[in-house]
Amino acid sequence: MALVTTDDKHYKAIAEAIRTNAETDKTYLPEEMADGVNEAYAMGRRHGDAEGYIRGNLKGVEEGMKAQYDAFWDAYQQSGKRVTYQNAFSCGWTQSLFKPKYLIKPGSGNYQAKEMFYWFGSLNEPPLDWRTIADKIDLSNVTDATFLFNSARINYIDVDLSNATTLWGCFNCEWQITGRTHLTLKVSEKCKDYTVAFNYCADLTHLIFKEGSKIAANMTVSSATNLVKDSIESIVNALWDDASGKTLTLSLTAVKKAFQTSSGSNDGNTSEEWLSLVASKSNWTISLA
Amino acid sequence: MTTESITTIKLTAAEGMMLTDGEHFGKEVFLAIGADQSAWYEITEAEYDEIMAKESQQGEPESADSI
Repeated sequence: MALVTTDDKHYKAIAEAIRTNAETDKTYLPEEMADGVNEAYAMGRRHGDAEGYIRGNLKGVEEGMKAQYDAFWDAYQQSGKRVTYQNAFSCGWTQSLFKPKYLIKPGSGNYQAKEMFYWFGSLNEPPLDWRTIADKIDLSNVTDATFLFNSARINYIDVDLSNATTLWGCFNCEWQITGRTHLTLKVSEKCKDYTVAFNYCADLTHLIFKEGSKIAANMTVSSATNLVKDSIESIVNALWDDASGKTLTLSLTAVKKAFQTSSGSNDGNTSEEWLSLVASKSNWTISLA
Repeated sequence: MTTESITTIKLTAAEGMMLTDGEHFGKEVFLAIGADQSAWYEITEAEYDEIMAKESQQGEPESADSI
């Protein structure tokens, strides 16, 4: 064995490095340091294996979940080709489940969108904010909007239903607390039926008809007792000028408040502003219930 | 250019009553130009509530069978 002269600070440094990497507080004689290096290496392997497993596992779970998501939605939406969505997201569907992969674009006809979101949502979740999924749905081809959003826990709905010929029960809220305060629509003179379309809409404060909308059939929005002024104006302004023999029914409570002449006067139904609005649609009978 | 005054006829139900034409209801009714005023008559609020309760049980419209 050759004897060498060295500085013992090097041995201290080596021992410290071994202790750090082997995660131990052992002390080492020089002849024990080779084993110490092996212990440090083994510890590094264990850490590497654990971290590798965790990463691999997570990636595997992610990929597995993605594969399941794709499998379900590819089938449910026929890889984007589905156009028949009657009852597709009704009763039992909730916000946490509703993660469509493809654009939802129902076709025209009786079975395409009827009751599509009938009783959608759960009281255990807040209402779905339509604005978060608006780019996933296109209802512009829908002709039959019967019960489409009936009792659906969806708020801030903003849709083009200008091809719809019926909105029978479309926004009715009878069977579930929907939390629906805001609704924006485009309709046309094609729609001949608004029967119970807006029943039980006591929470509705904002009902706006988009530019170009034409309301051509009897409509009752009297359940919306909290409707604000610009919404009432929007509804009246959308009444079709060519309609004949038609009636719009609004909430007396809402009009009294919305058009009141001073705070708390609750006299909006006799205000000049309201009477002028009524007069602007002299071809319509306007009823306050 | 012509200018004309248009008179809107407003019907107001008496206290405790509701106006109806058999299909629509209201405490106050602003008639369309040319609408038949005689089509509207009064019912009691109790009768109105009863009608509303019956209407809420109304089912879906007749249409093609659901799939």
